[in-house]
Amino acid sequence: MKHKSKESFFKIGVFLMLLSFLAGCSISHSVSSSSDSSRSISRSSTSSSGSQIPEETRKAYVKDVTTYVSAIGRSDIASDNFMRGIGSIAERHSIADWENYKFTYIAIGKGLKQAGLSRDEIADLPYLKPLIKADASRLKYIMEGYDS
Amino acid sequence: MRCNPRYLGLFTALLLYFLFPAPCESKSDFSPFGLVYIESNTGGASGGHCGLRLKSVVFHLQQQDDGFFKLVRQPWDDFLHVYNDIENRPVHFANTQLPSKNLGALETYFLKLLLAQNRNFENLQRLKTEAQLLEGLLKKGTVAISVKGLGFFEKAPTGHCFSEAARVKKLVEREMGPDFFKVDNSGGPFQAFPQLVEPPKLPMSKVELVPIAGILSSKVQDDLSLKMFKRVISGCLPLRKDVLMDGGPIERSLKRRIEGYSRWLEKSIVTLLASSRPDRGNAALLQLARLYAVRKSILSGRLLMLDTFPDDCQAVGFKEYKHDLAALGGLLRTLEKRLRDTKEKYARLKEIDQIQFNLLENLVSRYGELKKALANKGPVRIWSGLTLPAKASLINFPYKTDRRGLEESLQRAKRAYTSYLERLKRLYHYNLLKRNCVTELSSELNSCKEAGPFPKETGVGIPFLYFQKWLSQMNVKRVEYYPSYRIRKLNVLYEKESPLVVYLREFNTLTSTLYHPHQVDTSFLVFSDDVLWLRPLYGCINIAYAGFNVAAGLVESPLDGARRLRRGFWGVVYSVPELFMSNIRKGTFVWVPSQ
Repeated sequence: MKHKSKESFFKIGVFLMLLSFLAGCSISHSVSSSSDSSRSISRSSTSSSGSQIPEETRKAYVKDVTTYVSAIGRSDIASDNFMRGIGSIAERHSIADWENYKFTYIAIGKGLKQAGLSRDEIADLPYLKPLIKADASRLKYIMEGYDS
Repeated sequence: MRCNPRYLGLFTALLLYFLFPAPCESKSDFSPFGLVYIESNTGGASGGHCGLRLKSVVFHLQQQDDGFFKLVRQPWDDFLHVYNDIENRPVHFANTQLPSKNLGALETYFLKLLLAQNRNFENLQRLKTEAQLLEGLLKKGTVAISVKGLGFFEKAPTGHCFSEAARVKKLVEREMGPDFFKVDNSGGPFQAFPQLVEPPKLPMSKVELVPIAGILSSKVQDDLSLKMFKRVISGCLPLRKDVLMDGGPIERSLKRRIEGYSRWLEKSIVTLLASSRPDRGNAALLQLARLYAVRKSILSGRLLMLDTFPDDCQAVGFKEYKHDLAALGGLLRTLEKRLRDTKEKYARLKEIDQIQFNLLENLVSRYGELKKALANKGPVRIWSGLTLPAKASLINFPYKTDRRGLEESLQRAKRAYTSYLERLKRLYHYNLLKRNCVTELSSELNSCKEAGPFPKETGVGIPFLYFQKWLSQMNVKRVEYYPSYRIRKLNVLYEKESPLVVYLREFNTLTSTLYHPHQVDTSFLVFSDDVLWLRPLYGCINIAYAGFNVAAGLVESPLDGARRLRRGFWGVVYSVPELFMSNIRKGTFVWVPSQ
């Protein structure tokens, strides 16, 4: 009898341990909303902290634009849609005027290289033409990114 | 019998090391890469969590408020601050060697996943807006649309044109020509509404970057935002007072940097207006509002920045945070110091760029919001991450409509939205056992053929077990162990004071100086995460304590909304594993400074 109770005690233990692991990465319960509320205030407040943020944001932006452009490559995407795509990435990184931000063009150059385009093809890409036409220095930055 | 946390941490690290010995360690540097395992605690992810560290960021999957299970990219320091410090969970990082080519391929793959995911949810939002626009147009003949940035300005002119507005108007006229403000400025039904609704391309996989959908709604928004920009300038509409946050006084050198930034903003406005960028109206409205704010700062000698909190952000009422005033006071002081440091740093810069300026906007907004709330015992708005200021204003704009075909367009738009939503539900749904942070991470890792192979999770995704699998199958150079915040602090105390005195004071929640009980934590009396053999005994004590709170909570229920009862109940639940030598609960913090 004693042996049996020990065994069931053990089984319950194993079950509870498994349950605690199974609780997985997203199960949650809210004992009280206030707790999470106070913590969410602290998370919200500290999300703008950190001296490395500007540098990290710039790096992440360049990587995202590079990846986006490498996915587009030689496609016949309209320049409007291309710019909407860049605009959406820029907004996620809190950049309002991505056209006047040289790292946008450096990232475009990197992305075109990743996509396997040759230097000569770049200036003729239909989706880039309006951007390049508006300011010649943009092509220079694109080439800089391409060569980096 | 007491297990010093130093030794318990060391024991865990050694155990992991000896169970899964790493090959000879090379002295050469390699980019941090590997699986991150976060131990259990109460609250979200109570069974632990997993993420993938790729250089300075962590990719992990989280269930979001909208119910979708999404990939999140988080800077490593921020990730540690949340899980290791605030949530007080031990973190293990299996620093793994992977050829740089494979690492690059993996990084690109995860970035593509993120880009495609963002595109998918933006498309869904656009398709929803498109259906709403058509519905409104069919019913009322007007388009009710929200224009980002318009909410920064007063709705009606004040009667006189203030000097800054007159200056900008003159500048724009000089660059864009005198007719710029005359075109499409009537505000009446000036054009036919475009009715072309294109069926969206549905994503076949999570990594596929589909074309932008719902272009119709974007075009209408872009068109209106540019018209509204013209209206704001030509009507000399000033900034609304309630959109500015006060970041304190500005010194002379910072003032000069800000003056420099105002000149850049003027240039930015003109370039935007001349640009072919479709959403230039929104961006120009924001830059104009920023310019006005900066000019006000220069004139007043105080740092006045636009409020960055989004319109749809949540707010926490005083009643909900009143128990944590001490911690939030500490947070306010830290924010104040950060703001002061940032201002000093920016004063020394040659010039401020867009990202730096936005960081300052966010910092001032966070600080101003908390300061005002604590002073007035009012609500605190919350939002995670940096944002561009984007106060929107809803406007009803009349359009000439051709009702023929509009009904059909609406039906098409609704069908497009529904089918897109269904596809996203299929791609991004969560399931505790079959699709969780482990199974999805493993699946994505193994989808990137150029970088793998990686351990496969074939069964139920359990973070701890997957971490073990990773250690045994991958080229792990070392396991980095990050003890939880409380344990780290405890270690410092052990070195400074008598260990016995420290232990007797800190082992329980009543006399602990490091931990202060707060509402998120279930009822418990003693910490069982830094003891091993005493754990079942501590479990009994915690069950008794939580049980007492259940009984007291039953009596208090009508008065406290069953808060104590709930804490007691979950206190019992989380104490039971302690009886079997297993620990989940470690106590958490409302806020602690980042390490």
